[in-house]
Amino acid sequence: MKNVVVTKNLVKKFGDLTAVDDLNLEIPKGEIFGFIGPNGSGKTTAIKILCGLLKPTSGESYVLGKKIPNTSIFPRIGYMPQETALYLDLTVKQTIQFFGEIYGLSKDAIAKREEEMLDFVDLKARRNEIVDNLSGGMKHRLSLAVSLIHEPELLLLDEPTVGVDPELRSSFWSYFKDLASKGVTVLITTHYMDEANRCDRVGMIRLGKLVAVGSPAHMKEETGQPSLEDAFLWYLRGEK
Amino acid sequence: MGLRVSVAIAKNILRQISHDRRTVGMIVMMPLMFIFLFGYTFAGEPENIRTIVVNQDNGVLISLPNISGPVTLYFSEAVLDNIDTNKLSLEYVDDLDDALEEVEDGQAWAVIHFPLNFSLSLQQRILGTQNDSMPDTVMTLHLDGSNSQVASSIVAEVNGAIFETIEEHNPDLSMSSLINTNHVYGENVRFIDFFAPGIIGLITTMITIILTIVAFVRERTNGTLDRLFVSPAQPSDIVMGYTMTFSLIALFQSIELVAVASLLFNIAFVGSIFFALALIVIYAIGILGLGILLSTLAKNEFQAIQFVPLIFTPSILLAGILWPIESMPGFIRPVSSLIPLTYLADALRSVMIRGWGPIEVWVQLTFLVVFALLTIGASIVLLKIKSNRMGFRKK
Ligand SMILES: Nc1ncnc2c1ncn2[C@@H]1O[C@H](COP(=O)(O)OP(=O)(O)OP(=O)(O)O)[C@@H](O)[C@H]1O
Ligand SMILES: [Mg+2]
Repeated sequence: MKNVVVTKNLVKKFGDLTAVDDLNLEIPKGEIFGFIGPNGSGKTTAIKILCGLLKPTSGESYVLGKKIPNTSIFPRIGYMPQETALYLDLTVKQTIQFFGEIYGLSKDAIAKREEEMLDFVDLKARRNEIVDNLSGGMKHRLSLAVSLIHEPELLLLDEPTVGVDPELRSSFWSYFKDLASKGVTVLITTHYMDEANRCDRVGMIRLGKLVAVGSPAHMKEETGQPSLEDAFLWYLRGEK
Repeated sequence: MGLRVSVAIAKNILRQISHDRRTVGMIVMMPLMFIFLFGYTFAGEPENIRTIVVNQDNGVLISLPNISGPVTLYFSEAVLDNIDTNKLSLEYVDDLDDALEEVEDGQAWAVIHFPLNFSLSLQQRILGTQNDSMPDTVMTLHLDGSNSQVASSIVAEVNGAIFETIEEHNPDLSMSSLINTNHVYGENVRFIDFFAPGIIGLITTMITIILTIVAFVRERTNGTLDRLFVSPAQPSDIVMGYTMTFSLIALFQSIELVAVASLLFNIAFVGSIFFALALIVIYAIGILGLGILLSTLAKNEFQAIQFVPLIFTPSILLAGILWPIESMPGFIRPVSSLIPLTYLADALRSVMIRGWGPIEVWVQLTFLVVFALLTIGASIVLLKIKSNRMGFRKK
């Protein structure tokens, strides 16, 4: 199995609105693929379809070699929703433990992952804090840690770095690169161009349609623009 | 995944609640508040009911063995002596019209009127020589019946006093020798014994429905439900987790309530406490399922909380908790028989007052079990649909 994510003519309509319009994607194993596009362009909708949370109107998708929807992929994917999606009344430690138990990790494994993950998102000092008392960015960090707790093969991360300070963002990206080098596939959405630049490939999506796919370098070359941001704007203009 | 996931979810809900002081307070205090309020407002009989006595009794001349010459005996005085003045605070007025005016004005609840020949006629009755043509013989109770509980207290007290008086003067004619009351169940059952089982059910309803609906709507709007849907946890694991936690809370509250009610009000508890608790848990599970179903109809917590009176009001009014279903109008009774609390209250009462077991209350037990299975089953199916797991491939 080469491609971890494959979509074929994927369409999702909400009433008259076509949120995802004929999406064809192929993401190979170990790639960091970035989804970029304006607000409401359909990034979140596409990710939710890949998780099985939304039913596509038409078209099909394959994740980790299985046709979606399929419950057997759940232990193997790590989904980080765009909203924080945490239990606000638990402590940080209890949150990690809970999701560890949900994924069937042993007590020892949970303890080990708790250390690793809290180290990664730099929340060790806030371990016993109630989640609701964390700052917005810290909640986002914890949310990312939760998605990684069971060492998934595929990460579906919906804007994981929103509100996270530059230093931590940079360390997140080193971590993603590290995971990718170990064969983990990462599908990430972002509005930050510096992050898009660090992806192996980016897909630009506009009004639910994929308008361009390729490596950042390739995109700049194709459009003749100096930066990815300019290339992005060029594509948006070009479609009009 | 099964049990381990359910336990994790159960533990998770408990931990969330334990960090939420106000909710913990509500869980602990609600049974106390209910039992205090209901216990102290309903447990007592009415007291100090202002009652006016108009005594025109002329008495009757009798001769007593150790006193020479006839003595005037007033049966009216004897009756009045037998009235418990803590219950009826008596006031004497000479004119009947003045007295009646007080009742009409709402100043007093009743007038006890003894006519001229009250004693004479009563004596004749006791001796068996009564003369039907004699006027002014019958004691009259003029009653303000606008409060039936007060009115029935007055009637009971006055009747009791008359019976006692007759008994004192002629034991052979004793009313209690004419009427023989035999309590099959629950001698000395007070109102609180009647409603305590219902209150247990009400609290279970209230807490379970509020906590489930809010917890579930929050789980959905937070996005944590999506997280669970994308995890190996099955919808049945999620529902089982909720079931464990809320059964535990219902158990805790029932034990608390029975303990407090026993200590303070000495409520009747003849049957098996374990069977009673089992009934409560089965009922709580049913209500929990209902809560999950309702929570999917609500967009947010504000909408969700509006379902609470929708469940609670019919439960408190129509389930036969405060007054028997037999006293409701005929067209309402079928509604009562659709309310799960009706069955719980009925079964619990039978267990607590009559000491019945599963065999005697099998109808109620069956209804509660079916109710729980239906709502839990339906909520699992609903979650499967919501998580797109219906007809999912496993491999
Ligand atoms: N449940 C829904 N019902 C109706 N319309 C929806 C629903 N979810 C999303 N949409 C619409 O679908 C479109 C795509 O939304 P989506 O959330 O996928 O955008 P996005 O690319 O993730 O945007 P953002 O960058 O703001 O996160 C939007 O127009 C949105 O309003
Ligand atoms: Mg989005």
